[in-house]
Amino acid sequence: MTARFLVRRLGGLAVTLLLASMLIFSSLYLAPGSPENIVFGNRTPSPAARAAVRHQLHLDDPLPVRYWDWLTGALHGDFGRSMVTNQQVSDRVGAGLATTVTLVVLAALMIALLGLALGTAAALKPGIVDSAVNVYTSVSVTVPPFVASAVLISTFAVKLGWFPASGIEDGFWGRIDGLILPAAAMALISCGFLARVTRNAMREQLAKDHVQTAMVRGLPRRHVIRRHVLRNALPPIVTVIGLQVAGLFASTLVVESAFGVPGIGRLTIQSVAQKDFPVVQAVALLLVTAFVVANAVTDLVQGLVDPRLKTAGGAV
Amino acid sequence: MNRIPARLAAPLAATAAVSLALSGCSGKSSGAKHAPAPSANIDANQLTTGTATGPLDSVTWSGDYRAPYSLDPLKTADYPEETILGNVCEPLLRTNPDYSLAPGLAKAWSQSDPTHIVFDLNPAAHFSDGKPVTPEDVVFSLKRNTDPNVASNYADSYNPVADIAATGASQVTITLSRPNYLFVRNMGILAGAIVEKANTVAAGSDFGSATGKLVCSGPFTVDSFDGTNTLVLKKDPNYWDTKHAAKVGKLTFSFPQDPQSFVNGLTQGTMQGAFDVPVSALSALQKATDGKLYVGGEGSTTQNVDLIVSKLDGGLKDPAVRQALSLAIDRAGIAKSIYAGAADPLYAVAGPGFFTSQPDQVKAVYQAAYDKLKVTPDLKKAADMVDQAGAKGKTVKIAYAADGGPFAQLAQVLQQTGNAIGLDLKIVGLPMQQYGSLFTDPKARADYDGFLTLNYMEFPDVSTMYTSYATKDGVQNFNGYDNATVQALVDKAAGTDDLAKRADFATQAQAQVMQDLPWIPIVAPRALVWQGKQVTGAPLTFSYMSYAWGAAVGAP
Repeated sequence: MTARFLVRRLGGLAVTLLLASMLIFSSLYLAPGSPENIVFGNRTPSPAARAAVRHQLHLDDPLPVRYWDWLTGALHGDFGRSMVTNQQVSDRVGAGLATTVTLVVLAALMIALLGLALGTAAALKPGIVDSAVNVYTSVSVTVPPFVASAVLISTFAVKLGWFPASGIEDGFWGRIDGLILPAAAMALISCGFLARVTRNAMREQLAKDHVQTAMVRGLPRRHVIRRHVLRNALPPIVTVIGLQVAGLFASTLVVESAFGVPGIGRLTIQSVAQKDFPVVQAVALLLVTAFVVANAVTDLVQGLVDPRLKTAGGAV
Repeated sequence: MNRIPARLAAPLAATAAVSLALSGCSGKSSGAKHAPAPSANIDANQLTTGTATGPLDSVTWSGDYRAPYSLDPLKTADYPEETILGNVCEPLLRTNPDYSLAPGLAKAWSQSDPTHIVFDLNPAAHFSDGKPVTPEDVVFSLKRNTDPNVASNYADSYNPVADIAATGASQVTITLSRPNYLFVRNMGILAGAIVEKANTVAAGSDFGSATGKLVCSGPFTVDSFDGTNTLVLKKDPNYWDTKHAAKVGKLTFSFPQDPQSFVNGLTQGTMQGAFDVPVSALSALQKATDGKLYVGGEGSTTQNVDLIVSKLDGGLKDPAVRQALSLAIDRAGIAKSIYAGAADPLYAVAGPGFFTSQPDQVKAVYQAAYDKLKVTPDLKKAADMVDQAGAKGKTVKIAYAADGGPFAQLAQVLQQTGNAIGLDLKIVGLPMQQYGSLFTDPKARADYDGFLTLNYMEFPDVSTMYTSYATKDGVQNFNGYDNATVQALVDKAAGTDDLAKRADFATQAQAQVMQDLPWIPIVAPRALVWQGKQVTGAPLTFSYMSYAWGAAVGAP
């Protein structure tokens, strides 16, 4: 089942990537404007200069030819050169990728820890704790990331001075230090949703007959919660974490800009504005891959935590 | 020279600004609801923030609104490139903070007759790899401007050039096709940047890319550049001119996109300096205590905000309609509310920023001519002019960059002004890429009667500004304006080395151009420079756009 699962997943990934790349490539091509205008800045180039640059960038080739060139290059691991800066695309994307991935990992950890903790607390302690968590989750899901960023910056960076307000520093710890606030800006919102789902899933399990029976029979409460409540509540929780993490890559665009984090967020925004085809392609495919991979991992984990899915055979 | 103002968005209260400007339009003075306008705190003759006395390991500066597209000094003429690259690839001559030219790679130069400029290279000058700067390198570098495959952004500046040749073991002569005493100014900006021929040829199309090797002469070399977020320069320890060697070991440029992130970077000390501070950052920086916001006075830069008329056959065809619109614009209100007081009303495209650095007598000539162009907004008279021209109800479509900055508000004010005088003025916000193509693609601008721009020139000269947009071959002539009188006058201005005579010709040309209004001037932004307490030595004039200013920056 695992091999079949992997093959189907990989096949799905390949088809998704191919369709996404075609869609992005042609939509950029059809939008008005042309990348060489960016390079010329704002002076009218001579027709000869314009023709020379268009030729250098292969902009004079028809769309299918350019797409095919790009595709064959990409299949050989060559994503081409940025049309604006003439850098290797892999260099341009690679420069910020590690930072963005670190940011996503940090945010994912925060979401999982905070969301689970809040949700569990709310499920197990009805009354004031539950209400407090409820208020928090209701408010947090309505706060957009850029507002969270502004609040966090003014409190923890400007007033308290615990973290840098803008940019990241050298070295691993410098990077982590600078990424805690941006990660928190993303996590504070997403964890509210996870807390809600965790609370409801656990409540549902707590009300189940076998849980009630176990409690009444005097089994240790901690044991019952771990073995019977949490374990059975996990599938929806895992699904939500998976979706949240997959979506994190997209929210980095906003948060990186607010915190001046040198990840791939700015690269993405700029390249779209500049119609820098090869870079947009690479970044977009990266985001699609991240999304698909996150979903696949979620399904795999689902299979692990829920034995029923295994016995159901190819149901995944 | 124009820039695409896709930069830090200005979170100003748009409605407040517009209503203020409007109340100004209707003759009432603008209310004082805003924070007090920043008053100029730079003396007219203060050229730098101070003199650095000691070295510093590392300084981080704002590299302006985006990372450079290329490290090739000729590729794009815009704020980030021109702010940074002069530190790495020096031009043939130096520009001083007062805009005067000084010896550099060329230790001496002379223009003994109107069509020949002779440069004697400094024999001590060498590139960052230790090889001497030869006439061959200089000829190669300057001629790149005229090669379509290089697509130099400064190509138009070379229109007057007939030939560039080595005329001695350390001598280069530029021959001009017509008398021109202004061309030499281009040797003090990136248009005259010198690169090493052997390296440039070897690098081919990779030259100037973030990973490509750059061999030039300058107080700094490129240490690393990721193409998007950070550009690090390091001191060249073997720089040939010890008097102009860098005091800073590492000069890093970062490019914050978010206005808040920009302000935080400066006030928290992750960045120590910034030129060209956006209006949206003013109030926060004025309050900050870890550095100083320097605010220039009227005419402290050559920057000018204009409405470029993009076709002379549409709604703005009749010069009387253009004059009416220009008469109706409340320039003072716009400067005060939309630019938070950090701009001045502008009545000629080449306003005070283009002549304040002239000797007093010459300046007086320009100033007198400029003063004659000043008007008080008069909606009623403007409406009558539109009526008489038979243009009442005519559609005028104006484009602007919708990506942020003050242009959206400015466009709204123009719309209200146009409608108030009887025109049917429509405004269209364009995304950056489409807006940018208005400058480079005649087809793109055919849909609009005009578009808004922030324009500048690297060196201040009135006649050069008009040459660039009001003559047939002007690189910024987007509407085909052609007037034999103007052409003859600006040619005469360039062809004389007598500053007073040049002022006469230039102001005559200006009078004609300002009557025909192929561009309508609106406001002139002031110099806005931020410098943190830890550093000093930055220039306060617009000269940072052309020379190795970073060398003078160091510990106070």
